[in-house]
Amino acid sequence: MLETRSKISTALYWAFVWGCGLAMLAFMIGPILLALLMSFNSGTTLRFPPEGFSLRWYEMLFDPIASEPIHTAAKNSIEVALSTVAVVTLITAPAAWALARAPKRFAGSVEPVLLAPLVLPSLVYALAALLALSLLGLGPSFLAVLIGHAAVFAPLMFRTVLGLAQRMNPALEEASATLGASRARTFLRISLPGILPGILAGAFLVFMQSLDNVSVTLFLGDPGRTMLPLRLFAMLEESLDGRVAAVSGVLILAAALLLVTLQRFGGRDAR
Amino acid sequence: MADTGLQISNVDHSYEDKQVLHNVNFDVPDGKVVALLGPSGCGKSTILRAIAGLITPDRGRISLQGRDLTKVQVRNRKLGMVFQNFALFSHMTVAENVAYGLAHLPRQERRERVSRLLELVRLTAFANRFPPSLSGGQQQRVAVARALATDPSALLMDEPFGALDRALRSELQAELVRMQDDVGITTVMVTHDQEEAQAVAGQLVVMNEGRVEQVGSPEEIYDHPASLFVNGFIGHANQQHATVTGAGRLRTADGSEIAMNRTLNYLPGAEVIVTSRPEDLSLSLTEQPGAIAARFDRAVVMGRFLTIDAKLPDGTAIKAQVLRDGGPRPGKGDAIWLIPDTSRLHVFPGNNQIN
Repeated sequence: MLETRSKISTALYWAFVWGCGLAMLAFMIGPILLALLMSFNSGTTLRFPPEGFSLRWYEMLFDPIASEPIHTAAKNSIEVALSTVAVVTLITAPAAWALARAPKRFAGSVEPVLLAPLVLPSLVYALAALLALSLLGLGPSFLAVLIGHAAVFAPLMFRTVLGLAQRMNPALEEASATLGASRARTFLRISLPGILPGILAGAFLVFMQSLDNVSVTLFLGDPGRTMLPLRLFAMLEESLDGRVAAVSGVLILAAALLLVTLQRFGGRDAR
Repeated sequence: MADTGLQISNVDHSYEDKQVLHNVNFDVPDGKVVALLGPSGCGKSTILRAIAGLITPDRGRISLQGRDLTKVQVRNRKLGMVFQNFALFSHMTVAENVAYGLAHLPRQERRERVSRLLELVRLTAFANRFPPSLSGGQQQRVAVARALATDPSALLMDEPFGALDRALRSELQAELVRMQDDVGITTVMVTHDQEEAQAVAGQLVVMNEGRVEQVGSPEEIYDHPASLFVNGFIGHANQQHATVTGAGRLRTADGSEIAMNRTLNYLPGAEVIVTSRPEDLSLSLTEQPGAIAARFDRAVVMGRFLTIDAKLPDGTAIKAQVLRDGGPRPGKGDAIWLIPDTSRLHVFPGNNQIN
């Protein structure tokens, strides 16, 4: 009796675990697969199931004349994303490194403030930033988008770097100093390699988030300079353009490649 | 004062209003090994960090061969330091770790120095390995080689054997002594392990609660402990409360009379604590004059010796170590008498009392 009950509860437990796990996987991977499949559709519009296999949408996407607006939008987006990564790295990496060495009480009170943008809806931030800009008499611009992205996404890198910086043995830097190294040499040869995996992981997150952000870009962006996510929206509105799926395909491939490279590169344990 | 060796004079230090070093003084003669010994939290690591320059003490002077180090930055002190968990740079090879402090040398010279040091610590074959792939003992030797590479004026070691398992320690201690003989570098080592301190150092500095309790050779400290703390920390000390009854005479709390063969620096009536080493007690199964009455608890065989655990009438534990003779062993709870070697008893002031 008791045995059957425990058997049933074990079975239920595993059914729950597997059920939830598979559902998660389905929700995560299903749409991505769907988009990929649709990008190879030979039909004239976005649809599922695809009518046949072809690379026509990719050909069209890479055609410099037909897809010129997409290329410009992508270039703008990548520009913003790369600049955001650069700005965020220069600000958060030293900040996280310094905070890991600050007195505990100080660090404990500053950390939540620096992480706050993570929980703040970016839409709210974008609207507030737009209002603040107009109060200053400034309009939407590339710089405004850059600052907006940097402010909203900085915590992503801050988090990944702080984790490593806090786990780093402070004796490593002390050892470097006792061996006659200057502060700069200690930072470059000892501290930086220690937090580099965090910087790379953070850069990846910030880059991807910046690339597909809509709200901040929409509010703060110069309407004359379209960005990729906005462009894709517009294309879907105008017609069910298969190139949208092709763009997704390219983005998925790029993300996967980046991720693999990162794991290879940042995988070595730097304690 | 001579301008040689490492001198620590009147050093005080506090962390956030809590004073951790109180007027610390000791000297390390040129080329000698001194061990800072004490329980954890006694300030021994703090004084080592102050010598290294990783902290600046609130007060006092640290000088090396007459040169005042107090105001010199860490990186200019030219001291080698071996950290507690070795603090090796795990993203660099063994050779790169050893070469880290030699950036100012021309390449050829640097390479020669590195290979000479790896030879010294017998790790030549491991030059291109990364530290995480080495055993604890090998990592420790890399740390020593890295610290010695810059040809420092003194070597500082913070619990250099603490991260190693027991079996390996004595081997590496012997190795360190051999290397020290070769290099002849002034060395300060921090440890909480008295055997380790005695195995490696010629001079001990015993610390407790931020104060230096005694400085001396292992023998001096064992035979003539300057305080009750030192007596109990280095080796075992049985303690009994007693009252001074006359010149060289004591009565212990349980009523036994002890006649010392020397005069004591205490007035009659003074409350004292008298201590004995386990090996200075001998066992008798019959009552003897001047013997300490106790109840037998158990005996443990330690090679040729028998370690006896017993209890005094007031419940205090007492330990004796005697040679095993084939004689009868008492049973648990039997009355025994422990005869002290009165010339080797130590007397310290009793609680809350000076003299």
